Amino acid sequence: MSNYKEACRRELEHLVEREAHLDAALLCSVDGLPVAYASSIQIEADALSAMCSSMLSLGDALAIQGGDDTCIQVVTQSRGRTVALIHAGKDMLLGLMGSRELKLGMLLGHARKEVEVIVELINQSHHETKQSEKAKKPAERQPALLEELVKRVMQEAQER
Amino acid sequence: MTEVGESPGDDFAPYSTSVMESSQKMSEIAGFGDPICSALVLKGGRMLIMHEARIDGQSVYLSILCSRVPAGVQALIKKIVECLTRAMTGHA
Repeated sequence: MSNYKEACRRELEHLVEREAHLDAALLCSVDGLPVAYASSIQIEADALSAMCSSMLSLGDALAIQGGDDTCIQVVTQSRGRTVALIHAGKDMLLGLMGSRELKLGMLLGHARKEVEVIVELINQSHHETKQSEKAKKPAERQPALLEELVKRVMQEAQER
Repeated sequence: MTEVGESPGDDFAPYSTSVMESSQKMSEIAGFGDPICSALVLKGGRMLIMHEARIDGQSVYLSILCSRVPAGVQALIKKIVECLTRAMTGHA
């Protein structure tokens, strides 16, 4: 699990390094816990994750009231900075914080592209975890389901 | 308080105030300064722009649903707030 977190952190670091006016990038779970982040400014990742999650949930609730399934992005503009929030798969969200020099279209574009990369990294990590689980000897495997455990016990009993 | 055009109605109002209050809190935590406006990007390029204005000591929440983002959003918000101030207080 931590593999994808490290990969995501590296990816976010590259993004913040690449884009001069992008100050911070934060990936967090939908329940408001930080997963990975990179920033050129000081941010309180824990508190900010909770607020980002709350904002996107409210955005979704508001979009539903207007007849949509979810909102695509939430944007907040302050005097100094612009924050863009976007869903990253089913369980996570990405927040990008840019200075006012970074145009809104660019910020939203970065958010969309970055989400694609992050979802790919997460899927890749899940795939690798499954592969390594399959490669293990049956005795070393973690029982994924009760059904699988019962099958294994039955098989071992028959072999005896 | 009032609405023009197609709007989702009364259910919509509590959420827009919550969004503005949350964005205020988020900006405070991040140290970004007071939020000017918040927006939701919706399907088909539509955008819901929200702004909190202080008129005569009261907070008034403004929501603008656009099929496309108009040029000079901040100037437009300023103009609407001026109209509201005139209507509510009798002076700009």
